[in-house]
Amino acid sequence: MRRRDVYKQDAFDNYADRLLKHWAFELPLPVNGRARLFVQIAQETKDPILWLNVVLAILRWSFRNLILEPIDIALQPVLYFSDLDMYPTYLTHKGINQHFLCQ
Amino acid sequence: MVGKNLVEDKLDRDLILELQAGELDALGEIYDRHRHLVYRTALAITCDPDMAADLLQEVFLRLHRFAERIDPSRPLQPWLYRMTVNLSYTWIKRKSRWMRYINEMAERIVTERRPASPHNLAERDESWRWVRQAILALPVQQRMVVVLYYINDLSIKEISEILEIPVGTVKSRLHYARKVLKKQLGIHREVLRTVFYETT
Repeated sequence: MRRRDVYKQDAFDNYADRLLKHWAFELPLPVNGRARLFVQIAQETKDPILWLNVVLAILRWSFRNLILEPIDIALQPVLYFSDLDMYPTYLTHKGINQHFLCQ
Repeated sequence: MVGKNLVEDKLDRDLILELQAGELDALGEIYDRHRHLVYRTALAITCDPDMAADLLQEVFLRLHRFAERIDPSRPLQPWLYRMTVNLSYTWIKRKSRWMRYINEMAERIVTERRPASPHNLAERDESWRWVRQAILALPVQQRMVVVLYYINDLSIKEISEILEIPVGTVKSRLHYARKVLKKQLGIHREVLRTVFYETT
């Protein structure tokens, strides 16, 4: 892939082109990159199931303990008490029974 | 040039097919062929040699991981560019300003104590530091376009395809980036020119 069309080509463009290229090519490539790559691939392919299971276990634990449980605790009074208080007595289970028993 | 590219594409295609068949040697071959492209792109965008080295590994790890999804009939270079640019962008976005500041401070302290490596020598050079600062002065979106255009010699159309943005957006980003670069490099132009001609 080489530049085929040029958007703008002036003195600065040429200057920046050569300067930036020179700067980028100045730094040497990291050594043993290929060996490091193969080591990482070997690690990835060695225990993929174990690694995945650990991650899933952490996610499950975090979701249950850090998200679900606090929400559950925070909403308990609302879910289990407030609604009951809003209804007339005869509409609660106890109230309904008493209401029909009296009739 | 066109003939050479065709041969390279053909070989890339064969290597991808071999990689898809599970041959790791093919990945090594692809790595040797394209590591310069990936490393220099990552380095120019992040301006961090250590991070560029990590990104180089990450790009080829992903190539191995997602080899099945790559279409061997299409050239590999745009995929490599896209992956490098995306990973570099993610890294820059993750790294907050204060973290960058702390790292730079730490780097300065360590650089003063550790023996000079080729990276340090290049970074210590006052002229290259100005170039690095000029690149860092660009917003990330503009920096990516500048790196692909000037350093990797890609055309406007190729850049628009890699970054998945319209051609007009590439042109406007390049236009504004050139303004910033002119301002940043302008002051040190004479110094840089001297150094540039000395080294060539």
